[in-house]
Amino acid sequence: MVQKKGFNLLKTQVEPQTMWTKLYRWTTTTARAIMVFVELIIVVAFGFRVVVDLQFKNLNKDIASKEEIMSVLQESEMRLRSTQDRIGLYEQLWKDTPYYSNVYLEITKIVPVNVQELSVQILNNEVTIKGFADAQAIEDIESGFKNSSLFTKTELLNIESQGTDTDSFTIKTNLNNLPMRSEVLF
Amino acid sequence: MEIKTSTAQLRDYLDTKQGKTYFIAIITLITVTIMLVFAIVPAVKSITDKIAQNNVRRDYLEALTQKEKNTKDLLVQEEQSQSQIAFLESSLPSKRNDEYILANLGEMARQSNSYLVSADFGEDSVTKIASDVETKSRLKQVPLTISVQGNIPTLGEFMKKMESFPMPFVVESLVFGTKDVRSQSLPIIRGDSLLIAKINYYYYDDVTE
Repeated sequence: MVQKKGFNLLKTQVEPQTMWTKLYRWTTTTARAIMVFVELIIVVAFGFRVVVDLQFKNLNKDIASKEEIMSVLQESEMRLRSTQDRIGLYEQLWKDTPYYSNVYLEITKIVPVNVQELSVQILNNEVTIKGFADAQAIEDIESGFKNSSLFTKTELLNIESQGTDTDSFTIKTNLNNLPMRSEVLF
Repeated sequence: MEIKTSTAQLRDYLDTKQGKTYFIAIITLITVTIMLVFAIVPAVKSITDKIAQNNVRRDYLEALTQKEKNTKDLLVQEEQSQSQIAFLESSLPSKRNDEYILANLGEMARQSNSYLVSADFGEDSVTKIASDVETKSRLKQVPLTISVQGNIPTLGEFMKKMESFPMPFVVESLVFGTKDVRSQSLPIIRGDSLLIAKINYYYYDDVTE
C-alpha cells in the first residue's frame, strides 16, 4: 500500500519554556558567566589587596624606625631651631639699630670746645643743644647744624644775655637720615 | 489575512507575548547589581582605601626622611660652625648677664681713656620687635643707664666702641656735655665731659639649655 506523504509548510513551533526552565537555562549560562566574571574580579582584587597590605605593613615598619631616629634627634633639633631663631633675631637687631657715633662726631665738630656748660640731648630723633657762648659762636653753631646733612629743621629757640661776654642759648634740631648700624659697620 | 491555525495548542504558541521574556533580563540585571554592590564595589573600595592610607603614610615617611636628612645636615654644619655659635652665644647670650655687660663697658671705657662712672640696670621685659621668628617672645631686653666721664674725643671713641661691639646695644637716648661734671661734683681729673646713655642690651631666653 502506498503511503501518503505530506508537506508541512508552517514554521516549526517550539513549545514555550516554563519559568523554571528559563531560570534553569539562565542559571547555567548567563548567571554562570556573571559569577565567573565576578570571581575573577574578586581574585584579582584579593591579589591587589595582599600587595597593598604588604606595602602598608612595610611603611608602618619604616615609619616606626624613622620616628625612633627622630626621637633621638629631637633634642638636637630643638637646639638647632633655637640657634636658627637666635641668628635671625640677632641679624634683625643688628640691622635695625640706629648708629649714633657719626651724629656724636658731627655735633662735636659743629660745637666749638669753648662753649661752656654744654649739654646735648638726643631723644626720639630730636637734638637739643644748650650752653653758654659768645654771639658769634652761637651763630656758627646754628649755621653748622643747618649746613649739615645729618640734621634738619634747625632753629635757635632761645638766646639770653648773661651780662657777660657769653650768652645762654638753646638750639633744637632733628636728626636726618640716621644711618643704621649695619649700613655703617657691615 | 488572519492565519488559520489547526489546533488550539498552536494558537496558544503564536499568542505568546514577547513581554514575558523580560523576566530573564530583569533577574540578570538584579544579579549584576547585587554582585556590584556586595562584591565588586567593596573589593575595589577596600583596595583604593588602603592605597590612599599607604599614600598618606608614604608622604609622612618622606617628610620624616627629609627632616632626618635636614637635621643631620644641620648637625654637620653646627659641628663646623662652633666658633660662630660661640660668638653668637657671647653676642646674644642665653641668660641675663649684667656682670658681663658691666665688665665689657668698663673695659671699653678704659680702652677709650674714659671712666665708667655708673651703670644702672633695670627690669628686663619682652622685646617688641617686628619679626617673623617664631620664638621672638624669648628675646628679652634689659634697660641700662650708663654714665661715662671723659672728654669729648674720648667719649666719641667710647661711643664708637660701644656701637661696634658685637652685642647689639640699642641707644634710646643720649645726653652729653660739660655741664653735668660740675653739677654732679665729679672729679675733673677724669675729664670735663659726661655722657649719659640710656641703652638696651638683649638676651635670648633659651629654654633648651
